[in-house]
Amino acid sequence: MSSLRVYIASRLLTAIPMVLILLTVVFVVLRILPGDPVVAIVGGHAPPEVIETLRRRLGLDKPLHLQYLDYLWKLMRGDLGKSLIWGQRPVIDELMERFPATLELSIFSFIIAVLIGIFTGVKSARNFGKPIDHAIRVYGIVTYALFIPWFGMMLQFIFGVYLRWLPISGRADPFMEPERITGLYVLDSILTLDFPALISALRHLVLPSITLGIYISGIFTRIVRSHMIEVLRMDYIRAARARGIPEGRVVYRHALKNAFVPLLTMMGLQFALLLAGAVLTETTFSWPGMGTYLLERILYRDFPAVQGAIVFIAIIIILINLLVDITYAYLDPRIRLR
Amino acid sequence: MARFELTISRHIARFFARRAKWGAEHYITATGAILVSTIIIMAIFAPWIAPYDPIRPVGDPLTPPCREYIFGTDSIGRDVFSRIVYGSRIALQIMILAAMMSLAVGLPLGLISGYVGGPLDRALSLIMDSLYAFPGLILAIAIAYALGPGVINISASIAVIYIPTYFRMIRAEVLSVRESLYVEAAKGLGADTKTILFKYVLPNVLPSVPVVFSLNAADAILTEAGLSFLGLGLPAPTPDWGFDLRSGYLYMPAGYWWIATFSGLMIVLSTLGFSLLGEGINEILNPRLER
Repeated sequence: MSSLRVYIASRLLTAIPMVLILLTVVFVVLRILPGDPVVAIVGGHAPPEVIETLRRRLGLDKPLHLQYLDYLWKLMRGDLGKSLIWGQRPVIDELMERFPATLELSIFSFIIAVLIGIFTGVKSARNFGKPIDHAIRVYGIVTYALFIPWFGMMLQFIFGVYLRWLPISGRADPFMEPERITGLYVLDSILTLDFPALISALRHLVLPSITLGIYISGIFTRIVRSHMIEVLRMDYIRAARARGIPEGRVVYRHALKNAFVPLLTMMGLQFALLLAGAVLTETTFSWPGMGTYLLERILYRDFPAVQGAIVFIAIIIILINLLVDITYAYLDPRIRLR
Repeated sequence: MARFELTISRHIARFFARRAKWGAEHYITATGAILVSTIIIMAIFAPWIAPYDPIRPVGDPLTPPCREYIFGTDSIGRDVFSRIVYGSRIALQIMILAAMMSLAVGLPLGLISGYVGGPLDRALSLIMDSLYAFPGLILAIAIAYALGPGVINISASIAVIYIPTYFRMIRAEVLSVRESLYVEAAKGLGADTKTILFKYVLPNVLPSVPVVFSLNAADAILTEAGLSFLGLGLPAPTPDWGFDLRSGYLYMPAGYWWIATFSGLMIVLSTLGFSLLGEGINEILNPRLER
């Protein structure tokens, strides 16, 4: 167990400079680049007094290095500043309200993508070089080219506007939101045994999570395919076949079961892509998550909220990568010794 | 005469034999090449291909596709097809500008980092790895927000995402070239660092640039379309696929499907074209685990 502790410690140590670098990048991008954030907020024609007051309020009148230290110091205490609009609440509170929506969408999309990815990837690897393999490879390329807003709109038009089967926007029907416990509607409605809310939440989840899930699934297909091609060539698989074990059992029990942990790890590391896709999916389906929050605040030129949302996303990405790596090391002891 | 016929039939037979040997890679590359060249031709000959002015109303608003307006007209009566044709110019322009910008930063940094090594290399690699871990689109959103609209600004925000890709590729190449005999020999003959870098290392690293470009081109189109769709792209009358998709999005629930469908389809087809081409070229140049 101690080697795991050493691994976690060393992994944490490499995560710290990464966090610092990303925070610095966000700071530099939003401040040193041309375009004064204060002018961006109030517009170029505002009277100079207004500009000065706002500049002082945001702490943007201090020298850059002091601003930078101030920014890092506040971040360490979990303070992302206060929003400029709508009650001027702390940005972190607003983000925590929106985050569960993004998380729920991401989880469902991830599950869809993993299921499709494993099914197609294994099928492709089993039939390596045959027409079905090429067809699945083309699927992998085509899904990547499916521009999320367009694909989502096509689904909206067919299943929402034309067939009227499914809702095309939001997370739940009006007044059908479950009592808030975790903010994940599906989980909350199960916990409170509120079945109408559960059905409403699931119906709203279908189109957005299929859109994002299919987009990501192409990458998962590639990951599973190339990994399974390698695994299916290993000696222990040949041995299993030689013992006369049925092919289906060899592929699923022997090969896939052993490949499952590294596969899930590689998929987990695509979380950044999932989040970027979530921004587009949320906008297309008016899903009230972090992506729509970021864009809505860009529209209102709410500088602290924009900065806060990007910092929040950066920290989440690093935490998830850290979590995936540590879980992997926990499940597979060989990783710790590298 | 008989000999001549024999030669011809042999040529034909050989042609078909070769075609039969065409693997999936060749079909993938060919499809990609056709899509990409269609878009390039559209961009170059836009004024001759497009039947109408892309930024002026030319018909009744929201006319469904018909013989006069094959893809219909948008909410203020502009021809959707003409806007799509002109939109290819913007897409290609931004893609190329972005690639050039990331190359201009990524190439020298990768060269220096790989060649010099030591703490500088470690610091640069860490910075690039952190940037690489960040979701590209969100980084581009932040930069586009800070810079404001404009072709150059959008290209710059897209360029930043791909700097780490160029950097990593170039750095890895430099690391392998640095150890080679001819560099060793040049050093032995007393060549200074500048000569070695530009005369010996750089020319041997450059061939990997088109590979990175082909891999990033598709992604650049998606990112540009994403930024425009989110309202961070070019200002209003410019014919831009992502922007038209966004305006079509508002009319979709009312049943006006054609505006969004066709401009979105162009984004998908051009991304697909560049992905297939990149994938095919990559597979043919360096066949990996296959067999």
